[in-house]
Amino acid sequence: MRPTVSEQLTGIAHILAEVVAPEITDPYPAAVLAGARATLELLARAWTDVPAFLCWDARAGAAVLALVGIPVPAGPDDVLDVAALEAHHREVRGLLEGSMPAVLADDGARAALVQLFRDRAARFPLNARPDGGPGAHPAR
Amino acid sequence: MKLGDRLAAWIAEEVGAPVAIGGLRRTSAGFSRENWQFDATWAGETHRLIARRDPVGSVLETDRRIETAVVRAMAATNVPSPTLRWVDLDGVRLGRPSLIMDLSPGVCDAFVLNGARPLPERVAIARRLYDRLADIHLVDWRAIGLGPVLVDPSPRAALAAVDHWEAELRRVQLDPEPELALVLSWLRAHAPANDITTVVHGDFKAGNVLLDGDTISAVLDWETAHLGDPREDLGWVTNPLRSGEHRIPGVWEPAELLAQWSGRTGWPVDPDALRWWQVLANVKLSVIVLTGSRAFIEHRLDRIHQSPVNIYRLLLDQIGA
Repeated sequence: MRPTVSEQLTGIAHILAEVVAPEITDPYPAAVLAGARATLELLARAWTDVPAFLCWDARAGAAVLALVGIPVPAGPDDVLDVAALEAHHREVRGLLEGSMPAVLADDGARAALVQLFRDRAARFPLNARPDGGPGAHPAR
Repeated sequence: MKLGDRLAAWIAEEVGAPVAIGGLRRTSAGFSRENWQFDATWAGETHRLIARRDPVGSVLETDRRIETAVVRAMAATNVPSPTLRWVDLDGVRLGRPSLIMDLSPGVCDAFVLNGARPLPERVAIARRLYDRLADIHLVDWRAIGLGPVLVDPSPRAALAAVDHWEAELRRVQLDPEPELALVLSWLRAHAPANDITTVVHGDFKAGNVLLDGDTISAVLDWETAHLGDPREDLGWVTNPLRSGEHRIPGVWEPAELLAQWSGRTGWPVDPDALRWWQVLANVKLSVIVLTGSRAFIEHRLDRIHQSPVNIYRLLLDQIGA
């Protein structure tokens, strides 16, 4: 299916860079445009990794919760159903947030939780500093 | 009515004369307020002014009344601050709460400490910068009338800060954030008491001052000012994530910064308390990012914020997890 989603995202970023950006001289819209372009480029690189990350993160969170006896509903059968994956992922993260006292009271679960947090930070597919704003780069 | 026309109408009413607005432009600085610089001419004289208007969406939800009161009060201190002209807290003039100030002389250079100036000049600016921070903390806030305006949280300023930022998190979060649940638990278990209560700027940095040559002509952006533990500002300026703004590698590190501040205030800095406030600083940054994410998806902010996983990773290191 050409152009692919990634190719389209990259192409739009290219259009913005080559056609639109040179015409913009005011600093505020120029900064906003630079952020939008950088995000398009990030999405083009990383969007395909998002479903796999959601699956992995939900599974790993469920494993931590199992250490303190908290059951997690099964994830979606269709791993390509991204909306269902997102909903399941949110549910597991919510259980982790709500179960924090129980997890922290158990040394093994606490250690597993911290390791999960470190691993997910390393794997996070949309981990970027696109626009110089505080979220992207706190040292604005 | 266009913004320029609204400004002209507002100022004309204030000065009692027709006003012409020129050179109106939005600056790229400022994530929590819209900043509009312009020239206003009346009675044959042109004035360089800046309007600060609440944005439709922001990375921070702050109180314009507090900012206004603090800026006015600071005029009676040795801390250089902007000259406030007119305030519209109800948002009648420009559609949203706004204020107009004189455009102070100087430029805003967030990374001046690591810019092109010679090293001795940058070190001298660093000394002056953090002397100004100490001066903020040395302000007698009761004497300048801030007692009835700001809440005094002492001696539990640390826990009050956790309460505040956890409430902000609950208000803005779109998804569960278990990393922050872990860190908030650590903060509550280790909160230091404060025996000194001062004005806390809340976002002190080179990007929030104006430099006129080598002189700091104004400290800006008082919208997050409050009463609290001065170590809150120290945690903010020594946060490793902000090193590009606050440090000169090998020359002006946190040790030099803290020594400068202690030398001016006469107050020592407890390292454990400082570390606690550095953790709080990154919780605050995380919530600011999440606020931006929410505003973005609600089409109230035109900047994109991804999940703050890098800040979470640093927080794990900071709490020794």
